[in-house]
Amino acid sequence: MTLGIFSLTCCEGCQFELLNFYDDFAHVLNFYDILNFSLAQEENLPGPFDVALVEGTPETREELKLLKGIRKQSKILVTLGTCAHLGGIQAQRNFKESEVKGKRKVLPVSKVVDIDYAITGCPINREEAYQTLVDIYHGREPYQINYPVCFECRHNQVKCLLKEGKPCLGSITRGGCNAICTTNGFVCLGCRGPVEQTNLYKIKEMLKKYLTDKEINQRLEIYGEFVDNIIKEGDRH
Amino acid sequence: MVKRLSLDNISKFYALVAAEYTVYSPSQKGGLVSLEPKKYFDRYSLFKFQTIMPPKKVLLENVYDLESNPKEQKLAFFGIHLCDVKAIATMDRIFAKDPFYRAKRDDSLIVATGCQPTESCFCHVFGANKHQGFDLFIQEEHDGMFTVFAKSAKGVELLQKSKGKILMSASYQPIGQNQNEIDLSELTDAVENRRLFEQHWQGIANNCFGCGACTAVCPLCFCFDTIDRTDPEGGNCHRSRTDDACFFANFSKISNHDFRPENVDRLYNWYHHKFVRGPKENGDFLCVGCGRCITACPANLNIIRILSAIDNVFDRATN
Repeated sequence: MTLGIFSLTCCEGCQFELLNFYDDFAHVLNFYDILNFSLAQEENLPGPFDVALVEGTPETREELKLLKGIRKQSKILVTLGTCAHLGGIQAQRNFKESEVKGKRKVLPVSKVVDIDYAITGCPINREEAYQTLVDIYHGREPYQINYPVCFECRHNQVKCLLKEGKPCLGSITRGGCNAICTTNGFVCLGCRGPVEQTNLYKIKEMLKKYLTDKEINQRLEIYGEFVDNIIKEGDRH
Repeated sequence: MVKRLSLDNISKFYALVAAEYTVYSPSQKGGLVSLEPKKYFDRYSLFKFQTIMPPKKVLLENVYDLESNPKEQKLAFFGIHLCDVKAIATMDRIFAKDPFYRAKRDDSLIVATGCQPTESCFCHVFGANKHQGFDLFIQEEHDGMFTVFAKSAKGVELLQKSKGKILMSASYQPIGQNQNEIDLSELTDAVENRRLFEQHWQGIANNCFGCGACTAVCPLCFCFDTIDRTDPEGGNCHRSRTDDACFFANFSKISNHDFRPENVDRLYNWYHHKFVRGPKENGDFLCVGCGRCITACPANLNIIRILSAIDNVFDRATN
């Protein structure tokens, strides 16, 4: 099968993460021919692709055109990383009053074109990405984790950071990262997006003990569209 | 058989066990006490406070390939507490026919020790403070010596090899307990009548994240998911077993239908399994009162308060 890996506006960390352990990435190359990967190879083809991986958000007209072109050329489109999935750091602009007039809202890839699967995280978990690619090759629905970071954090035998008074978002954030931040004593910043059917009001209530309303909203902005209502509405009535 | 050992001899006894078994014991890791494989005795091996994860972490480990033959292992748990010992006894009944559990449990050795009650534990409610179910029990005496009780043939055999004075008679010190009380007589009926307390359950669910932290640390939570994983290296498919919990949206989803669509349904199901279905199926509550779920819950939910409140509401409703 053929594979294209594309980057829109972002730090390109997810692409580096794919290449980080080249031996593991080489196993994936047994199944795929990479036609387009401008970070790692010189000769790139415009398509068509069986699978396209896209990271980042479309910011300029050229990028929007490129993204729509990728969608037309590929059978399966998979987003890579938080920027493509939720908007990432640049999408926090949507929550602030713009200094520049007429500035477009930052849209994640899924708001511009239809996507098939999303590999989340900042950066992605490369094993999850390899697994997804191999599953797609075999025609299997990729397994997506849908439980919070807390579950993995407890399995790693560490104490709850939220209880210790640190503003941790692990209880509402999708796991799959093996709780790497919280296990090492750093609070979860929610890069993998909210888990399905979670209690966003409760986390706001819990964080009120440690942070001001403004700080809480800033922390929740990483979830993009999922928290639009919560930030505007304020408290549950 | 009962022997009196000095601290030095306990340490030698640990080495004796470690020569024969892979020993899991409370260990210090980054300022936290967790259950880890450890070769040498140290002051955390007979730690009075709970480890964050119960022995189920080892006994119910993820299985990568369910079609492979389970590997027989000789495991020993050194310095676990009586609540966890009772949980293992209940787990033995539930997983009696599971080859992967049996491969780990059949030849295992349990060395229990006394503990210090924390503010969140309530083991006496479920009778989990009784001295039973272990191979060996190490009791610290006031004079700094240790009394070691051997209950099983495996335990006696090991204890015979260690140096120490044989005691003709010795008695167990009662395990300390705190003020936490739950009335068990009506608990099953109270939890079973969900319709009477719909509002009560909804109130708890509004304060619950559904994160499953309580299920991860519970010594008697054993839900798992069976998924097919493809090995990226060779492209072979394996059927594997991973941890899961009834609190997750995907757990009750079958063919795109969700049997427990709301968090309140899933939360209720947890209590229903522990206090209604558990006793019916296994003859025992699926709770030993270790209080780990209280320590682990990020939303500060408290099982003691929830159960007591349900008892009270039930009393008012029925009388």
